[in-house]
Amino acid sequence: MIRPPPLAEPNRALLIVGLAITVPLVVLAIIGAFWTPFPIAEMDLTARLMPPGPNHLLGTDHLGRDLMSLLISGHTNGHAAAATALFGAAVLGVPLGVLATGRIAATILTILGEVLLVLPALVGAALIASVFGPSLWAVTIVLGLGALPFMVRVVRKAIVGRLTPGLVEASRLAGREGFGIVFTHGIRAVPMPLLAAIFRLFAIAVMAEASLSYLGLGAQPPQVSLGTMWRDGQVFMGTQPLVVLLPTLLLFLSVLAFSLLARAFDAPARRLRHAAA
Amino acid sequence: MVVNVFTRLIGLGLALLAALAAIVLVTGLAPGAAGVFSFDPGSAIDGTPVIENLSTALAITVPLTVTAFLIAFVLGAAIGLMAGLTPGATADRLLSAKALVLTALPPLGIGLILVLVFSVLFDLVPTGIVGPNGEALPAIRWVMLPALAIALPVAGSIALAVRDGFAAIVTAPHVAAARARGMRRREALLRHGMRPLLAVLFRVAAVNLSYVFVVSLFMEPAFFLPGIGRLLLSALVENDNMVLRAVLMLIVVVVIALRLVHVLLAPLIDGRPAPAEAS
Repeated sequence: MIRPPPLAEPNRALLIVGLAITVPLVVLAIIGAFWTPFPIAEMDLTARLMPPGPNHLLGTDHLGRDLMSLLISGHTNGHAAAATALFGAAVLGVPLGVLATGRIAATILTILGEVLLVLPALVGAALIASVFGPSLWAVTIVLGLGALPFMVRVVRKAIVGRLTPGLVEASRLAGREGFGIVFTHGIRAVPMPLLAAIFRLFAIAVMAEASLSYLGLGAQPPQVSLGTMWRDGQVFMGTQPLVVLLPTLLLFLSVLAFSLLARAFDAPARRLRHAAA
Repeated sequence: MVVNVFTRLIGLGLALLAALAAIVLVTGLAPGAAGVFSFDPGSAIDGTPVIENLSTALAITVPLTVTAFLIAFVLGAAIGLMAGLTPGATADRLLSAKALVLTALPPLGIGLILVLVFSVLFDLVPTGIVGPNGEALPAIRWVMLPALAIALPVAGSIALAVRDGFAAIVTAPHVAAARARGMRRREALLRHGMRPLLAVLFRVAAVNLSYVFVVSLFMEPAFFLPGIGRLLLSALVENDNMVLRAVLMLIVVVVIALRLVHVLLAPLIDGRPAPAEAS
């Protein structure tokens, strides 16, 4: 009897460390959607660029806005944009990836994937901005389109890699054909690499959102993003370095945590480790 | 392999056409535009020829991109090769962890912190390309800090990719077979590992060069460098459609040309007939 090889499992240590950082960050992002210590648009021009103090725990920016509130709101917006973009990309990309295991569909999707893959998000965001004006939604759409070909590719690669000739032959003998084989045996290989890809793309998307917003192509005032905090803080960082340091630190944590999670689910990299051990 | 490269080429061609069509559509109906199908780049709204704007901006962006890429590649490849040589060993774990931390650094944040430390707090390096007395600074003065900010995270991802690729070569069956026949490890790797390693390095370099180019565009405003990224932003703010068109076309052509070189040369360097699933 032919048994397919067992599926890889996520790396326990990386998973625990990754979750230990991502869970609080995601909770913070969800809280930020409903509550910030001060309203983000509330300015106090008598208390500009204040250092951390009892009233404003992390100080204030050049308009006297509470820095902690801005930070939480920017964090929320970044995570919301990335999550929305990736949700859309996954909803479209996973079925397309399954479809792409067929030969003709594979060719068509490779061609279309190449189109999306090669064009930088910057160009898309600039085009949308010059027609509709810049917005967080424009960035979200561009990031989702950018992630789509990666999703398709990862799903397809996982399925095709799982369906070894022996397995396909055995499945045919058992009376299955075409996508029947894909659904019985191929799909099971999808979740791990798909999760790895989603977490990796999430880290990239959060970073890209902040960068595009820094250029002014994303979040518009009074909406806040970690990128707009950089942009505003750039002029005033000599007086109050926190306006630049804090968003950098928070973004670094987000990207690091989601990269750790991605690595935890990245089976090929770990398989090599076992082979050598 | 032929089909694989061929489909990619069709994709690249489509990408070029689609992007150029979108750019022309968005910017084409502007007053002062030379026409939708004209390749005359025209002049900017302040009357200077667009070509002139582009060439002065490229004189900033190209050195920045090249410097950042060289730093990232040398640093990243060194870390990756050291880690991949002994997959699973302590050195590998430490170096991989270090590389992962590097990848998480936000380039713009690092750039701004470098400006803060070197220019604002200690006044060691001026921002922009003009010195305190209005004299033009040599490239080496303004290119290093932004290049470093771009290079650090990219070095991390280059290190991880090279590590994974090299580790796969070190543990490959054909290398093990060579050792079983009595070759020493060093010999086996030099004899049977060099070409696949070259293929890995080429793939990583090709992907990241294009990425470094795009990140350079983001980095320019942080250092007040009047390059392509800066030109793009001012064109957007001033609704200067002729400049916007030229800049976006330039970005698209550069990125697609780099990808074209990658797609065409990768199979030649690798030398093996590509499996159907090569990416």
